[in-house]
Amino acid sequence: MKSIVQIIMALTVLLLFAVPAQSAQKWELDKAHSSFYFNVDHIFSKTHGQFNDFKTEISFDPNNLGESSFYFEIAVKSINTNITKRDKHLQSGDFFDAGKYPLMTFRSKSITDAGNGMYQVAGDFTVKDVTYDLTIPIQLVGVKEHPTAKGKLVAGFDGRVTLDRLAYKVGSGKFYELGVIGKDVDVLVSLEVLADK
Amino acid sequence: MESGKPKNRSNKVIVAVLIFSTLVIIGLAASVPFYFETTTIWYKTGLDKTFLRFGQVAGMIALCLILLQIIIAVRGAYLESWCGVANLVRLHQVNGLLICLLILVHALLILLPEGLNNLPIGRKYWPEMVGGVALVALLATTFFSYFREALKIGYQRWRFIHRPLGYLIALAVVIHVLFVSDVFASGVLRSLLVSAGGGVSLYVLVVKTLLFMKK
Repeated sequence: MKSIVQIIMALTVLLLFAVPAQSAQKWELDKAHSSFYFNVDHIFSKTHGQFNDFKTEISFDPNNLGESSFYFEIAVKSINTNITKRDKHLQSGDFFDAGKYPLMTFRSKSITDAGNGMYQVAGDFTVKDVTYDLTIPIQLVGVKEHPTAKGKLVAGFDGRVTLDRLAYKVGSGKFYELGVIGKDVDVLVSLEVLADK
Repeated sequence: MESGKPKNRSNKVIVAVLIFSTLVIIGLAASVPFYFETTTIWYKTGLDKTFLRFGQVAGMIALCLILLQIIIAVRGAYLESWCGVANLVRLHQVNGLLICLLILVHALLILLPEGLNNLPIGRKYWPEMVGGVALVALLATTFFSYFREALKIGYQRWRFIHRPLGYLIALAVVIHVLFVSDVFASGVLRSLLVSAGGGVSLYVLVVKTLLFMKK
């Protein structure tokens, strides 16, 4: 009898551990209210732009950061600075070489809570087919019921990071040396994501 | 068909003046990329800058020759009497080939600096695409004109397509230039091109009206 109880207990323990860990909430991108913005110095002014074509895979639960993840994929050709000639130049070999390297990606490897809604999202940033370590501080702006879409939750994320474009070989440095285009690019990742309640 | 050569001395003087005026206009047009630099030129260095500038020079000369081509094609009584129909027809043919060559050089030199794997395709690049369509139409119409007999295409059938296509190509090229280049976005160059396009259109209208009234 004692051995039967022991077997049942052992099986129960096994079953408990066999249950997969609770996965983090998956969030679908609300593309109309999300973007990857950037600005960079041009002599004395700032040039603003954004990427219009991108996709994300986001699983996020502040109580389960181990299972949370961020994946961003940006189509370089979708760069938009409101001047088509400049966009074409940015897509050229002088900068992104979009014909050869059509995508930029970021895949998180770990997320740590930095307090006050801030999370340090560390991952692999791939640009022009070379992968670099990058940590993006991302703020969870909020989570609430969507005011207009019934049965939906909406969450907001803001990520701000300054990238040295020359470190990622986005440009040879000739325009920086001429004092025309800065090397530091301020990036704002502004996302609104949705999930079923 | 009338005689191929200008008949008298005064005609020769008029033809010489016409040729000189045309060359001056072409020379002035070719200087535009040097005196009115586009912002794209500012951001190119070395060989890319040279390619882009000479691509623009080729484009400007082609633009003049395309407008001239319409005038040569429409002819008109005065032009026929000054130059002779045979000369005008021959000029039309040679000019067509020259335009093709210049437009190809233009496209290649403009596209090379940004990379041939980075072509301006898509709705936001519509002025460039209008130019691309004009280029294809121009090559096609020139090909079918030169090989019409070999391809056994009847004259009337060929002319039925060639004539309106010629006007459409000229219109497309003017639209392309007006919207593709920032130096033509406003100011004196835009006014000059609109005036030149309007002038050629008016010439076509007057010649065709006079021809219609004569019939």
